[in-house]
Amino acid sequence: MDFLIEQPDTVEEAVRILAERPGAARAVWGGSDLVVEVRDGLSRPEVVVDLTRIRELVEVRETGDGGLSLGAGVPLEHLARRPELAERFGALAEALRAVGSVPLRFGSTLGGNLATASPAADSAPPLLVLEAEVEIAGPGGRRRPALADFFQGPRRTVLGPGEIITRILLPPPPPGARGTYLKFARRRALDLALVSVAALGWPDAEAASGVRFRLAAGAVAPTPLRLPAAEEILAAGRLDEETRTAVRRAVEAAVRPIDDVRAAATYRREMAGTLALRAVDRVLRTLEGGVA
Amino acid sequence: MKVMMSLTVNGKLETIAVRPGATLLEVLREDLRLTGTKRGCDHGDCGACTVLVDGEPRLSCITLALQVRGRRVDTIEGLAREGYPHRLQEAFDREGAAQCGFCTPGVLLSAAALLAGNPHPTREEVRDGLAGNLCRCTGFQKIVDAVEAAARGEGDR
Ligand SMILES: Cc1cc2nc3c(=O)[nH]c(=O)nc-3n(C[C@H](O)[C@H](O)[C@H](O)COP(=O)(O)OP(=O)(O)OC[C@H]3O[C@@H](n4cnc5c(N)ncnc54)[C@H](O)[C@@H]3O)c2cc1C
Ligand code: FES
Ligand code: FES
Repeated sequence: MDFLIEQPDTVEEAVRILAERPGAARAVWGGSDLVVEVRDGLSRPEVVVDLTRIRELVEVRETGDGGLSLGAGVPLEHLARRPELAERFGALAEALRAVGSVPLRFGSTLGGNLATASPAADSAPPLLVLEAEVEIAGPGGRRRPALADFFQGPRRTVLGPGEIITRILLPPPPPGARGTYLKFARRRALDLALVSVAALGWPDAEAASGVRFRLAAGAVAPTPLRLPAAEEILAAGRLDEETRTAVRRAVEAAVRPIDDVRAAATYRREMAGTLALRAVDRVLRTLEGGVA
Repeated sequence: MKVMMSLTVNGKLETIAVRPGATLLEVLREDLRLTGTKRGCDHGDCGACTVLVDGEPRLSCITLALQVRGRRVDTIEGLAREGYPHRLQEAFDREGAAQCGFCTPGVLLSAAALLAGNPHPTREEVRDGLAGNLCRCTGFQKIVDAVEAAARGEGDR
């Protein structure tokens, strides 16, 4: 691989270098997407901007209101091992442990996972149900879009020239919320999801069913996807056979999977419905049990 | 154009000139001649290139050498101490956990990192800790057996 490397100490410096060379400069943290891409000749950056020396990117901070701020460069394995993630953001903790393998997770990050914007990115469905925001720093300053507005298509995001992700903000989850992440793949480690679903549920007296849910799916559309129609149905009534069928139908109608070497679209569509119902059942069991 | 960098490899401070695009794996094998770390897939998939950076297992084929400047890197060459094999190496020998041996350096470093953080892992935890290291020969059972044996302290030196 043939490129120059810059190793800035601050976000501002990184942004400046990236903005000076639009198209020719690329950020790197773990390299698990970028180095592989460059080695395969899929991109040829002239300059690689190493973000690993920027202190700000490896901070994890309480936001004071029950939310959490996750630096874009904290290794996924470090995040997965943090007790506050397991306690308050269980769906995300489960999803991080489903990424690749232990040595891969010690060298890869949320910033990289989101910026790559694979429809199968494991961090995306839990971050969608947690209604995370993405803080972006660029030549024009900082902005903070919702993750739901961040993905534009497969491998396409709202990141403009010179922009990097600095942190991911998790707002406080609804009181009593429990979450889960189910990844369906051919093997348990080192494999991308064929279909994945994250669910977050919490007691809500105003919902006819007594429980409100958020659902999101991965690997079944050009971008990771919230499933609002299924969420409505779950809030509207008791989870009987009729509701289950309606939820399944709503999920199947929302997803737009592709056929590829790993699975057929029809299979992915059915599995999305199945996983959504399994995730809901799992959350309901933990809500009844009162423990995460 | 090469860039100077220092890093500590197996306890020894090394100062070398590296190409900016060189991976840690290339520098270990080609510049430092530490060929115990293997290049399997060069894509992060097989774990043959696993080394420890500040005690954490990392895939050296997708890590740029300059990213570990100033850090502590441990490779398979540093696992044995004063000529005596590490208890994991003893256990691998006794349990028949290595056949061709190509995956073994990476597996041993992943296992060493696992035991450092979790001295008495369950079988499931061992499998999970080693899931990033593929072995084409042993079928994995003997590897897991050997890590469990080492964790029980058998073959301690
Ligand atoms: C063997 C293997 C298995 C994998 N398995 C999984 C899996 O199971 N699930 C999964 O979701 N992914 C998987 N991946 C993909 C990859 O590991 C993840 O997407 C990872 O989170 C990327 O993080 P990184 O720090 O390595 O990113 P890098 O490779 O360093 O960067 C990735 C991309 O993001 C950009 N970038 C990096 N950081 C930032 C930032 N802060 N702001 C803006 N842009 C940035 C880079 O320019 C590059 O385009 C796998 C990869 C490999 C090689
Ligand atoms: S050579 Fe690095 S993971 Fe295969
Ligand atoms: S012993 Fe041959 S690959 Fe593992």
